[in-house]
Amino acid sequence: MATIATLGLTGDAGCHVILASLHEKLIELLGPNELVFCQILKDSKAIPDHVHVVLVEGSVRTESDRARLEEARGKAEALITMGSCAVFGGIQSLCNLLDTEELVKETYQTTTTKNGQHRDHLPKVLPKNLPVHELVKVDYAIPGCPPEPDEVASVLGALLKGQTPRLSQKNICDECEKKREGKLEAKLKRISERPSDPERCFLEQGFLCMGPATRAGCHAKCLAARMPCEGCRGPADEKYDQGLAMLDALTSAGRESLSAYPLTTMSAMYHRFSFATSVLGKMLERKNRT
Amino acid sequence: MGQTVFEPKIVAFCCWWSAYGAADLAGISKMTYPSSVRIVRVPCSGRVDTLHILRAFRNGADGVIVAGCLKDGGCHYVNGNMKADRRMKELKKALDSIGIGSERLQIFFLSAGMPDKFVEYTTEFARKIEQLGSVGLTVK
Repeated sequence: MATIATLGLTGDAGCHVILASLHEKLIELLGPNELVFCQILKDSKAIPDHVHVVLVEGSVRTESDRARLEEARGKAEALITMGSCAVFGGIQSLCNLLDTEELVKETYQTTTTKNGQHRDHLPKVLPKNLPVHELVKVDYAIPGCPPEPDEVASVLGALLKGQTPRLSQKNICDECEKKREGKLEAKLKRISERPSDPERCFLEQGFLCMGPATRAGCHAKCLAARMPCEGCRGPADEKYDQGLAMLDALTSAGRESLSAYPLTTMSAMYHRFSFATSVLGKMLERKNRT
Repeated sequence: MGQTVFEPKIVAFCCWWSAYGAADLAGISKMTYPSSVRIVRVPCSGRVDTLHILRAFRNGADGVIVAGCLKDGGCHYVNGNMKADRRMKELKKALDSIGIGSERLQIFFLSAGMPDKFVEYTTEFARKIEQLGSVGLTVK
């Protein structure tokens, strides 16, 4: 019998909701194993001194996040990250483009707060938003925002049986059912300009769809719902840089209009979920030093 | 005296068909270009990814050159140099934003019969990088 704990860091608890949304499947999945700490499902106040598995959701943004993560790692035999915040840093990594001091000032020192004083009881914000693997050893990672419930169930089930499951190494386009004609629009469009043919490939129609640079496994749900892929599942393999791969592909395909966008917009388009793990994000350090 | 002269490390991605030929010809013609320029031969300038350049910077390069065939039909692979041109334009913006500076990346176009241009461009670029100094990027 294994004991399982879950930990929520900076994120929106969506991954915990995914776990809860497994409903009765969760009971099947757990079997003889016990969920000992899970803030959304259980009333326990702290992680016990020894657990077999800890599931981590969310990125490391504050001192408190770091302390809780390190504590959990010390108590757990295996650590599994769940969701794009924990695996890649998540959307909040785009804050790394901005100065932390200014960011805290902007958020907490407006005219509405008392005398513009920083609240002491709030945990200190770290200079950068980091994915979990930058700080502690991670044994397995389940990407996605939110991760697919079926995938969470199958991966967790396999891990609890002692197997090592493999995530898909294909990209979203392999699962997407849109028609491709091999012709590209010259101009890049925003999704507010509606696609003329919803059954045709979005990228061919000029919308930025991250499908070619994103790991498959979600059955291209967003595309089936007529929205281009945002790339929440990260690159198809850890060795690729999702956003830069997309930039290379788009410039090869001849998108002159790309130049109209500044880096913050570009990163929000290409590195929406993976900025903290991207090469660009890692190279940013120097800017803050000088 | 005793002061060490800063010698930059410059990585030049040279296209096999033109820029590398020009560098080769410069050597045969006994022309000199700065020894700080390290040439990496690539099949086509369009092959150079943004990641190649960023990795060069992360591994200690102070400047990166991408050299391809002449514009307007000079490319051996039809339009590889134009792809490189567009890519570098985008990457320059990114370099500015992450604090490296777009002036440390240069793309130029020449034919295999222009060793003098190759020498001129690389010398000029090396001088610029010497003035700018080291990137000082210490990221693993």
